[in-house]
Amino acid sequence: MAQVEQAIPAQPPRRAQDAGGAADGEHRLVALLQRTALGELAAFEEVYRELSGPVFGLVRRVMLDRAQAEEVTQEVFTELWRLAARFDPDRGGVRAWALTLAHRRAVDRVRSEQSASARMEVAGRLAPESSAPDDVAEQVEHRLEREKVRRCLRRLTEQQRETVRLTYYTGYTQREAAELLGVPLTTVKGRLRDGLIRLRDCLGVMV
Amino acid sequence: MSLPEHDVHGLTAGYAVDALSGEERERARRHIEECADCRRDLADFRATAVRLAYAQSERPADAVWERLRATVPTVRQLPPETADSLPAAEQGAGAQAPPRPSGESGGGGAQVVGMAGRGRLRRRLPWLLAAACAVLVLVLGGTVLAMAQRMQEMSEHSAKVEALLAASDTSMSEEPVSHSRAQATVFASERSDMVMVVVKGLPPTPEGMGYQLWYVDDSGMRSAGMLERTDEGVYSGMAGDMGSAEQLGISMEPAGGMPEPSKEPMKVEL
Ligand SMILES: [Zn+2]
Repeated sequence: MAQVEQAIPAQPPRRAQDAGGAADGEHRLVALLQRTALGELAAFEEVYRELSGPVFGLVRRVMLDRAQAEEVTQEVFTELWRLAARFDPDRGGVRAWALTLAHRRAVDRVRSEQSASARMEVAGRLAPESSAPDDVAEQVEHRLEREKVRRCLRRLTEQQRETVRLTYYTGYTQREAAELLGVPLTTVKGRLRDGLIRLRDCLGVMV
Repeated sequence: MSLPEHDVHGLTAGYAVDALSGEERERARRHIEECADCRRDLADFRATAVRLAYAQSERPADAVWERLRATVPTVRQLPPETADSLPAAEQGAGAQAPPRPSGESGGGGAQVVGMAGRGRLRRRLPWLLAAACAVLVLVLGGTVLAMAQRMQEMSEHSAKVEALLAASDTSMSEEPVSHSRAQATVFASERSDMVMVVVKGLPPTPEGMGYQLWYVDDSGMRSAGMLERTDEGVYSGMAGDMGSAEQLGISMEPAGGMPEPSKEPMKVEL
C-alpha cells in the first residue's frame, strides 16, 4: 500500500538533489513517469527537468555536435513519453532506463553516421567541458558529483580508464576499441568489466 | 554460431555500455534474460553508467523542451507490456487484436468462460492505473485526446477509481460477455468490495433504454446501477457492494433502471 501512496499522488515539485540515485528521488521519478503514462504533460515536464541535463550531457559527449545532440535528446524524450507505461521498476531505476535509452540512441546514431576512424580522430581531442546548471545549489551538487566521478575514474588503471572512456563516452564497440588500442578483444572485455566493477565500488553504487 | 558459455557471460559489461555490435547485442540480451548473475551485473553496471552520465550533465537549449511540449501530445503512448501477467493487455499491445472467439464456442445456454482465478492476473499495483488507462485507450480506439477526456470524466469519481485501482488485491481481466460479441474488461477488488467494468461491442440501446449492471450470486441478482455510454459506444460502470458476487449480469432496461432484470441478463465472469 505504501508503494501506491507514493506512486499515485502528486508530490510538490522538488529540486533534484541527488545525482546518483537516492531512493526518494527515484520514487518521485517513478510517480512522475506513471503520470506521464496517463498523458499528463505537466508530469512529463517534471521528468524532463530532472533528466534532460544528464541525457543531453551524455548524448553530447558521445555525439560532440550540439545541434545533433539536441535533436537526439528530443527523440529520447519523445520515446520516454511514448514508452512511459512500459517502464518496469523491477529492472532498475528511471534514470538508468532513460540514460540507457539515450546512450544507445546516441551511439547508434554516431555509428551509422560516422566511421570509426572519423570518430577516432576527434575523440581524443574533444571532450566538451560540460556546463553547469544555472541554479547555485544544483551547481554545487553537480560539481561535487563530477569531482567524485573524476576521482573514481582516476583510481582505475590507465587501460581501464581508456577502455571505459572509449566505449561509454565515445561510443566505440569493444571490437573497435581493441583495434584502436592494438590489443586482443578479450583484453578489452576484461578491462571494461574490471573498470566498471572498480568504478561501481568506488562510487558506492547500490542497486 | 554459438559462443562458449563463459564468453556469453562476458558480454554483460559491453552490453551495459552499448559497446556491442548489433548481433552481439541481441545475443547478450537473450542470455541476460535467462542468467540471474548477469542480470545483477547489468543492473550494477547500468547504475554505474548513470553516474558517469550525471558527471556530464549539461543543460540543453530551451528550444528542446519547447519542441517537445508542442509535439508529444500528438504522439500515441503505448499501453503497458504485460505478456507475463496480463493476457488482456496482450491484446492491448496490438490494438487491432480481434476479440477472443471463446464466447462463441459453446452451444446455447450461458456461455461464460471462466478464468483460472484472479490471483494469476494480479499485477504490480502502481501500474494498474496505467493499465486501466491503456484499456481505455484501447476500448476507445482512441486518440490521446479521447483518453484525456475520458480520464477527466472519470476523475469525477476519481477517488473511487483510485481506491479501486490502488487496492492491493485488485485484479484486472478481460472476459467475453455471454450471448454477445462484446468484451468486458473487469477490475475487481474483494477487499474494497468494488468492481469497475468497461464493455466494448454492445449494440446501442434504443432511445429511453440503457444497460443495467447486476451482481449475480447464489441468492440471485442485485442491481449494480446503469452503465454509462461514451460517445464511442463503449459502456462503463463502477459499483461498490460487490459482496460475494460471482458474475456480473448486463441487461437492457428502461433508462431509469429496474429493481429486477426483466429478462435473463448476459453474463460476465468475475
Ligand atoms: Zn550470464
